[in-house]
Order: sequence, then C-alpha cells, then structure tokens
Amino acid sequence: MNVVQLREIFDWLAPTSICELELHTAQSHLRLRREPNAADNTVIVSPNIAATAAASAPTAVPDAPQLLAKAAYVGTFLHRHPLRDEDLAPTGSTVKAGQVIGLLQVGALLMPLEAPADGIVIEHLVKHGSIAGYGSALIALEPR
Amino acid sequence: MIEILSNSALATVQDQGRLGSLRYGVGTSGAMDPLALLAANLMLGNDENAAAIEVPVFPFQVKFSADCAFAISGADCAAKLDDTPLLPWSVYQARADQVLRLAPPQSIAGPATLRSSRAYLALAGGIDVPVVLESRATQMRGNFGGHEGRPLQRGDCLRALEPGIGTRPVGFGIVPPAVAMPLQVDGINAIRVLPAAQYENFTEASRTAFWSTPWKITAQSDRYGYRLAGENIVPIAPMEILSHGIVPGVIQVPHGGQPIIQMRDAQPSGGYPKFGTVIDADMWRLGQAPIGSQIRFIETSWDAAIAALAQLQDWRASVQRLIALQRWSYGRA
Repeated sequence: MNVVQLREIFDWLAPTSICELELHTAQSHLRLRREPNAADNTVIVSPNIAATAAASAPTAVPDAPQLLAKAAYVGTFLHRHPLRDEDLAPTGSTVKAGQVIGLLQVGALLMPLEAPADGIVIEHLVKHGSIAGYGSALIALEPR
Repeated sequence: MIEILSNSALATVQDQGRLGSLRYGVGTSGAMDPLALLAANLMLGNDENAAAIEVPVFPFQVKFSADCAFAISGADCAAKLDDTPLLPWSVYQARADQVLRLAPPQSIAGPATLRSSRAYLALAGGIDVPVVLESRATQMRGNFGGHEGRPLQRGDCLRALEPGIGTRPVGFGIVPPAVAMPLQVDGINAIRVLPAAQYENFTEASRTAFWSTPWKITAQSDRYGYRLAGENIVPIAPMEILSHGIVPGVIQVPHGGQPIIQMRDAQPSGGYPKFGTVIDADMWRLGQAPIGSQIRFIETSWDAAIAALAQLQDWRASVQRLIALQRWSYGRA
C-alpha cells in the first residue's frame, strides 16, 4: 500500500457516506476514519467517478423527466428475490414511493432498493446479479 | 400482542429445542428448521434461542394488537402486512391493528429446489411463554411447553418480550441458507447420512439403492417423523432388537421395508433397526422438505458431519457480523 493508492481510496470514499473503512491484506492492515461532512477541502471527488455516473445515465427516453433509483450500498444488484421467479418491479409496472423494487445483496444481507417516488419502471440499468457501486443508478422510472 | 385469526391447525410455539431431558423420556421438540428460527431471531436482535411460531399449514393470519417488530423466515408465503407485500427472510415493524397474512408457499413461483414447507414468525424479544424444562418449545406428546402445551388456535393471544417501536433497523432481509448452501444430487435436494448400528445387516442391494435412488416424502410425514417411499430396504436376516434410545434424525427400517426418519417430536426410544442417521447439520433441509417432494441421501463420515456443522457456524457468524455492522451504521445515521 503506497501513498498513491491511499489517495485513490480517499477519492473513492469522498462522495460516499462511508465513515470507516478497514482493509486487511496479506501484507497490511489499514483503517480509515472520517466525518462525512467535515473537511470537504481535504478530499477531492475523482473525475472518474463523475464520468462513470454520467455514462450510465439512460438515454432511452431523452425528453421525459426521469427518476433514478440509486444504490445506497456496494453490493450485487438483484431484480428479484432469490426464492422467486418474478422481478420485484418488471419494466412497465407502476410502483409507489418507498416500494421495494430491487435488492442489493451485501454478503449475507439483502438490502431493499426503494422507489424514490411514484412512477413507472422504464428500465433496469444494471443486470440481475451484477455488482453495483455506491450511488450507481439501478432503475430508471418515469414519474407520475 | 398478536392474536391468531386463523384456525391454524398445527402452528406451534418453538425454540431451538428442549435439550438434556431425553433421560427423563422427554423428547427434543423445537423448530423443524432451526436455521430459519435462528435467522429470524438474528434479524430482530433476539436471543438466538428465543421462541417463535412455526407455521406448517396455510393460510395463516395474525393481528397485531400493539406495535411490534417481527421477522419472517422459512417458506416463502407471499406474506402481506395489511396490503403491503413483504419479502421472505426479512424483518419489519408492525403497528397496532395491522394484520399479517401468510399464503400457501405454492402460491409463489420460484425455483423448485428452493421450495419449502414451514414458515416462522418471530417477534421482537421472542414469544413470551413459560420456560418448562429449560425450553419454550411445545412438547406435543406431553402437552406442556409452548402456548398451553398445544397447537395455536383462533383467538389465542401471544405476547412479545420486547414490543413497541424497535430501535433496531428493519426492512432488510438475509439470503436464505438454501440459496447460500445448496446441496443436491442430480437436481434433487440431498441430505447427508451416517450409516448406523444395523446398517451392515441390510442386503448390499438395499444399501446401494438407499444411496442411489430418490425417496419420496409421503403424506404420512409430520413433526414426529417422515415416512419415505422408495425401494424396499431388506435385512439379510430378520432382526429382533430391544427398545433403545433414539434421537431426531435416526432412520429406522420397520418390517415393511420403507424407512421412517424420526423428527423433532420423535419419541425418545424405539426398537426398529437403525439404518442411518441424518447429520445434525442437515436436519433443517429435511425439516423443510415438502410432502410429495423427493430427496436423495449422501453417505457421509463423522469428520464430514463435524465439518458440515462448522460450515453452519461460519454462516451464522457471517450473518451476525453483517447484521451487527448494519445496526452500527443505522445507529450513526
């Protein structure tokens, strides 16, 4: 672990609400602590992260205003519960604010992805079973 | 705290079992799927051995007479809290007067090997029934333990030990153990078995058939025992055995040749020849096998059985660690 890598980790953490990070490797043990809203000047948002988020924005319906349900955790995005065949929020379905429309699997936990507002599901932006980064847009909704 | 609205037919209060009383002739009882009960308790932050309701027959409905956090696990029953659909293996907050409804598991389309038969409803703190012989499990043979020593019926009211609006996070779930730790042979759910005392007294053809053919869970299967249907298991010579102690998991072969597996409400002694014993680490799989489904048996060893228990401990530790982490971050938010 060198200073450049440490700096990179700081940059990754900057736009998140992660307050504490522990990293164990064969050679080292790293623990970082931060106050998310304090000392904004000490961390720089990586331009790469901003670019990735922009690139993943859907372009299917460019004129319609869109809502995006975003990942509140790093995890594996699931369109449906592992015991079920049917997606929680199939494309075209009407959902209500707060309704669980997907799941993020974080290790043994299944965390709900909730609809940010009433809407119609336009598109799943991340495939079932793919890893989703913190803050990444997972489902596009048309508000109604 | 909750009132039973349905004629639940065989829903019982269960914990992890009444251990240590076999010497008095008192059977183990306890949850048929101990992992589902454990998971529900972990999600609520309950004592691991807290009592919950085991539901084998649906639909099942309860009404919350006060605010209370609850967890559901085991069979996916398309649960609904009033009109809000819930996910299986998850924890939620109920408000007073809300009704929780569990539908038959068959009403949900899902992978066939993940189909299971018993649901668990756990309440914050656990269900407040008296401890008898160090357990809250319902002892059906002796009519004690659980709620008045009997299955629940319409109008029964049960209290939670920690009702109210919980201070712990709700609205999350865990990956069901059948998803996290699948075990199948030729696409059929499998159970690991140790050969038992009279194993060598059965014909080689019967022994081969036991390990290599599917077995059907017949309709004569319940918390006392599972009667299986398949190839006849034939002894080399007739056996007369004195009655002796038996435990849940023991596979007996009566004269008819069709095996019986003793389950959680098994009597503590029996005299049929013992062919094998289901390992402790796989009793949850068997406890969830629906009537009419097929299972396969895998021959295992003492060391492998111990290793399987260690795998369950690892699963429990990882679930506990992640729930603790989530509780910690919830406390900071």
